[in-house]
Amino acid sequence: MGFLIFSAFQQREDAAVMNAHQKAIFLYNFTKLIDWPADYKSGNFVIGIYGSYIPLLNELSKMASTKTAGAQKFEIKEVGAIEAAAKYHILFVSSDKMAQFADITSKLKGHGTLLVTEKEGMTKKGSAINFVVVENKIKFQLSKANAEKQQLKVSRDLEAFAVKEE
Amino acid sequence: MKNTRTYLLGLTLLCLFACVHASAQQNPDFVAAFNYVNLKQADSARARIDKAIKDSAVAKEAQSWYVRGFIYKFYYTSKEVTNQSSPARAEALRSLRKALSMLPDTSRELRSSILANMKFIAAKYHNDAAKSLDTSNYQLPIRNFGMYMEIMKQIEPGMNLKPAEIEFNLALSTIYTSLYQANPKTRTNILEMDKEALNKVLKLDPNSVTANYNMGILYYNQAVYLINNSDFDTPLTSLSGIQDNQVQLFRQSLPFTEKAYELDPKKAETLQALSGIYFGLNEYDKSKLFQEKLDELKKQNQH
Repeated sequence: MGFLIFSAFQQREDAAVMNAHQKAIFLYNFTKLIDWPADYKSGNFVIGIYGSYIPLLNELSKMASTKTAGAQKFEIKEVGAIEAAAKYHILFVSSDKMAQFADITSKLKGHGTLLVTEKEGMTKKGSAINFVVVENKIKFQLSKANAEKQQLKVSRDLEAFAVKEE
Repeated sequence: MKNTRTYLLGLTLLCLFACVHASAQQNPDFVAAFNYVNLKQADSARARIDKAIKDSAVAKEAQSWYVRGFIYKFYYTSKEVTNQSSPARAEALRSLRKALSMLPDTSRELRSSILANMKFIAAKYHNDAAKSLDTSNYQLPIRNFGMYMEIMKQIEPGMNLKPAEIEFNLALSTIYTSLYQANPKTRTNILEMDKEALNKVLKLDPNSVTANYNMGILYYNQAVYLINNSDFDTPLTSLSGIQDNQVQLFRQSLPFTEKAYELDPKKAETLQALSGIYFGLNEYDKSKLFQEKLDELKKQNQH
């Protein structure tokens, strides 16, 4: 009589979900460590995702079901096209939409929108927060100047956690 | 079939009785024990052999202990064969061992009979371990498999027991993995036991694809779990520490998974795992490379 042996394996999607989950944790922390303009402090707290990033969309939706940004409920939106009149508290622009980034910054100029990207050098192009990989870990670069252009006040704690651009 | 078995039992009893010393043959309880085995009355046979063995003239003979072992084995197969911690089986083994230790080197025939009975008992311990090893019961199978190994080492010192030990520890690891995955938060001790079982296999066979792959996956899953179960409001200070641990776990996973790949480059699960590990390490080019290899393999398999 023999023994039963099998190999247990979680799918690779788990790593993708894990990656997105980390970014969701970062984004949730940003909601606490950044101060939005007064007219953004009522209604829902809107996080838009521009570009295809299903795992992040799913993770943020999970976050929205259990957390709030202060007294504001989260609203997670998959964004098809950027409208100048749109009101986002955070807009995550995925790496496949970098070609449109100049257009995005111009349309959302002066809005109280935190622009978040994930490609090297994007803080030089108008992004306030840019996810980067440092020693195999997801970290973020911060451009306080770009945040202030969007009327956002960044806390010192958040500045302390940001990695410096080379 | 039943008649054949009865005939064989009768023949065995005859041989057994012939082999015992005259002093034992004169003990009425000893004789009665034989008769009860012949009548297939296991309870009475056991009671009488226990009474007989108290007689010092009977107890001083190796043959008497062999007979006692045989009767206890008979009792075990008649009454306790489904009891995986059968006291009768353990007692049969004790008696057979005692007989073996008392036996002069010249008694080849009796030695061979004792060893055959011990081998039978060893096989039963092994089968019980295999039959009952599951997530609700792993401690008794560990003990039973340990008994199997102990007996086999004694009766066949030259036998290669590595394959059996490898098979058992891989199966045990499977059980630990299921238990851990059902509740990773509270079962970190099970995870360590899982790694210990796989380490045993890798010590016996460093080129085991399954053990290397499974060990890699243990670390991989641990890394994924670490982040996926962190709450959304994990402060950035804590997140940084979690990331450090996670990277360390992915790096620990790599050598095992890479070895599994080196040993079997056509195993789809390993390619998938390597792609996942590199994705977890945020090395997307390498992750993509293994994903492409996996896609290529899938294409080849389709043709």
